[in-house]
Amino acid sequence: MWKDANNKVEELYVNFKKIKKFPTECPMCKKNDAHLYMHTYDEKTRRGGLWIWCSECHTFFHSSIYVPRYWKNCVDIELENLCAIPIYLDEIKDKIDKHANELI
Amino acid sequence: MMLTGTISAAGRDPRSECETGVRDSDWMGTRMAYGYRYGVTQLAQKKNGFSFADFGKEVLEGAVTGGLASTAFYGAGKVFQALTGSVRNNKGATDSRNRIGNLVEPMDKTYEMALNPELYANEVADKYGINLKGSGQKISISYNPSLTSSGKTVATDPNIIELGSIAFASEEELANTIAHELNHARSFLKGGNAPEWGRGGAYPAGNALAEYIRGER
Repeated sequence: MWKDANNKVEELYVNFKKIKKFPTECPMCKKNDAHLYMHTYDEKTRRGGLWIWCSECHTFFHSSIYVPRYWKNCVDIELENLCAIPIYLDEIKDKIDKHANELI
Repeated sequence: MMLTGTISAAGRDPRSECETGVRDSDWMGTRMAYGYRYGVTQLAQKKNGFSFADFGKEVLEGAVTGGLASTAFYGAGKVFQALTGSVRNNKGATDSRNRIGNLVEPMDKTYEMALNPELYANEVADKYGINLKGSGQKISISYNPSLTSSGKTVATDPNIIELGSIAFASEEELANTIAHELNHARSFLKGGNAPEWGRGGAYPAGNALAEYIRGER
């Protein structure tokens, strides 16, 4: 069951620039299965969503953000499948990690 | 616009009507008519007693609410303004119908609002008729200055919408964020996964309000 009660996993976003590679260590369970993805909905305003989740302990964090300009959307994302709970993103986590690693 | 379910106002005292504010799509919309008033109980909203003017408004809003699904989200307040604007103007072209190209002016932000972000957020929600309820439950707005994002709603506590400092960049941004997070909260309250996109998704909900504010719809 996905859990979002703890904001600790948000640390990955706060310390995003320090991350060398995804998947990375989960701040909650310490397993190396944490992922991060941002998706821009409006290229002009950069309004979009942020997801951080761990495939191991199922802790997640989702919020609305202004996506940094350097970030690109993953072309494999099917918009209609995006939800706050990262079930869909976890299914394609390998593609997400590959995409993120090309950008960081 | 066809008015459905209109009833006679004669001989009816609304003080005796049932408390109905459970469903978001309450036909009469007695709660929705007033929108959310920060810090005021539902009963206190009627503390001024019965007036035919208010009752007439409620009847009109109830008829409108019954026919328009969107009021379940935004509340009857904004719809009522549009409808009465249409009724008053006999020229065939009203301000409500000519909204395209006309921005909604931001409200005057009082000193109290500047000091109290939650008050300001609730006033913005009230202004746009955003119904802060879901599945019969009240949804509250909470300002979180440490939030690095615009807004956040958690599945484990869907009765609270968190807003960060970024959300307060403008009235449009604030309204957009509230509408977006409210959509998530309602989905969570129904046991859903809070879709971001697609039919009923959070982004289209917030974006629709933003477009309305900008005069694009």
